Amino acid sequence: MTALYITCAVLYIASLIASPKKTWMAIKSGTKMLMKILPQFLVIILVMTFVLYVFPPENIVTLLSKSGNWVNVLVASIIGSIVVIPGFIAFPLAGILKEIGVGYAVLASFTTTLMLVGVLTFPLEKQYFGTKFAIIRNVASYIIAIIISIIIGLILGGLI
Amino acid sequence: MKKKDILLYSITALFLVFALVSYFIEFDPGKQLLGNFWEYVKFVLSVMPAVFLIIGLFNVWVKRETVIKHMGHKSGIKGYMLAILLAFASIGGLFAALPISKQLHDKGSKLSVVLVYLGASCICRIPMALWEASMLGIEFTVIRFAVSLPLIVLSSIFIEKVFGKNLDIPIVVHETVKGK
Repeated sequence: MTALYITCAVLYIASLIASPKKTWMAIKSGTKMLMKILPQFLVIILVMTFVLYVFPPENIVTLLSKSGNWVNVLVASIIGSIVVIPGFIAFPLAGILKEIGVGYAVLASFTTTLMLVGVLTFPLEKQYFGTKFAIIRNVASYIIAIIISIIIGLILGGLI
Repeated sequence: MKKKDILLYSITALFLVFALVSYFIEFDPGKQLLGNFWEYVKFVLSVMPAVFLIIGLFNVWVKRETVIKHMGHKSGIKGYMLAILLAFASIGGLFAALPISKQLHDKGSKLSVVLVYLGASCICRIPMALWEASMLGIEFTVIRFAVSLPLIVLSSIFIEKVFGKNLDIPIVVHETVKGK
């Protein structure tokens, strides 16, 4: 995050030197775009908050430590598609899952759908790109995630 | 402000009132919700000002012709590679990737390139990958990248070919693009 803000600052200094007027326009345009989407952001965060409360990460560990790998790949993909977990919880969580012996295919299924498929972020995607785009991208992403999990399972083991 | 925005802000405000009241009367579920909410807000919103400020710069400085040339319909394989390189350096997941890819789209980048950027910035960000590798092993991350990237490119091309014409993507014309 620090790197991001440093990059941002450097770019703005360069822009300011090149043209103060354009820089001011950039600030205005960026702020306007952020303000336009902010209410949507907040409500999605709110929904994520409730989902995380009803379904805490510990439950994911419990759920995925049961049943066979095939079932787990599917269960993990469904959980991953629905919940939105920040990286600082998600990866340590995946680490714990690995420790307790959850297969690589399941880990891939969980992390990939988590990042790529967004049921909760659907309204956001819809606002930017429209309903059709959002549906098609998410369905395609889900299929990709499953293929990735299967291939990783075949290479690293943990599918059978 | 639009009606819908007012409604969305009111919902958030209502929640905050509920959460703060729970905090003072020691109502545990409410307190926990507030904690979760705060973690997410920190996670999502802390990067957003910088992300949108950079989008603003992009909007003002990068010409439409430039985007069309490098990421438009005649960009070929270079367009995808550029999208992937951009994604590698990205941060913030879908929340940041969506407005950035929308900006690319508005500036004339072709749909499959937008989709490649969107997909790759979700699952193939380098900062995130380092973290993943430390938790799940470098082997896992390398294989996941090697498998994911071709799949993302192929599916993006497929989506553009099959659905590209009738996706009804809302087009936003930023007034700053035209200059004043």
